[in-house]
Amino acid sequence: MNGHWSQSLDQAKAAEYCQLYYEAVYRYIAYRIPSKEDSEDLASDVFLRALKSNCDTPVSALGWLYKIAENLIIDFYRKRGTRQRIIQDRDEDELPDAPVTHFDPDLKMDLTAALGSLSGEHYQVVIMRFIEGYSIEEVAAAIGKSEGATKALQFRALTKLRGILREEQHAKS
Amino acid sequence: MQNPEQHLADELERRINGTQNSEHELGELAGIAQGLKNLPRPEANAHAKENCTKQLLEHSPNVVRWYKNKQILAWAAAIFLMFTIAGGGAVSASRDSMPGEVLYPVKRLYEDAQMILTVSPSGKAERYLIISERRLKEFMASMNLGVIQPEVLSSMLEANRRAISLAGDIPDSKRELIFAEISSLCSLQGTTLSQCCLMPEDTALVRAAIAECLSCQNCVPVH
Repeated sequence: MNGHWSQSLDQAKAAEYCQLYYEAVYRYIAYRIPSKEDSEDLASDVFLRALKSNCDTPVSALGWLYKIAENLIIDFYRKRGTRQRIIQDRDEDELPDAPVTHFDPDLKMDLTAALGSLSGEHYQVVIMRFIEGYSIEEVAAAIGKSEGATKALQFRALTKLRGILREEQHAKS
Repeated sequence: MQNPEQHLADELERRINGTQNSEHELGELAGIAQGLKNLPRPEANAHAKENCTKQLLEHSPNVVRWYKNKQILAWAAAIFLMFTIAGGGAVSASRDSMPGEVLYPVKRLYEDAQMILTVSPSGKAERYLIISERRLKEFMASMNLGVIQPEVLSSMLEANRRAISLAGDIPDSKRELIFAEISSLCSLQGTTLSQCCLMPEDTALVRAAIAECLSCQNCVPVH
């Protein structure tokens, strides 16, 4: 995760980053876009858009690619006229408070669906931290926040996920 | 002092890293984190990745339009500002300049620019009258210093002629007013020039100008 893009990104460099980060970008998209083909198209668009754009200040390459991907996902749902299942601003008090008990392998689909419901920084932190396996320090550097703020984001993201899972569990029961 | 959320966030991080036993609420969150770590990873199609790389390499060169380049825009804005400030200052400073001075050409250029920007015949005629009056003052100021400026005098007469010519195209309501202004100015010019003490070699030039001014003084609207 050491890649940094400066102002002008040439084709060779973009291709190099595509080789390095394509899978990560694809995974970032795939948890939120159900179709594999759409996810692949969007992942390609992320790199093309990065090549076409001008970025003034050097930023973490993956962090920047995630931001582009985030915008493309929003555009994707906007164009389709459908709303993504976003539960990010839900009041925690409204969520059922029964403990979540289903982290066994059989119920992974619930967690996958809940993960797809996150968005923005919460989603980015969860993906980088638990799917891609980056450390808090690396995630903080990528999203341009302090380690403390990143831990707090991670905490809120997991709390939100727990709320979503509780709600699903409640609906099933 | 650490806020409660930050404390919980730190605590959670310790539990995720396995440095503390999971229990109760944080244990639940750490369990979710563990569940996330064990989620199946969507696999990208290797062919799609290669296609993307190929697309990037074949993409036409990234032509940066000048108006999208912030550095160029910043330079352009700085140069524009510099010229505007310097130009504005020069125009302002040239207002009272006299023939032969460094800023006098700036004053004449500014007059030309103002004339171009004036569209209506009456506006143009009025502007010529202003210029003509200005030329008279410049001529007299030069005269007082013992210098005859034939170009300034001929410019004054030319401005008068153009004002008269334009006045004919002005609608009735304003035409008489413009002619009255021309008459008044020509009269003033004739009188002022008549009072000059001239060198013999310059007399003919000024006399001709006086004669023209006095003839203009009696000009009347052409119906």
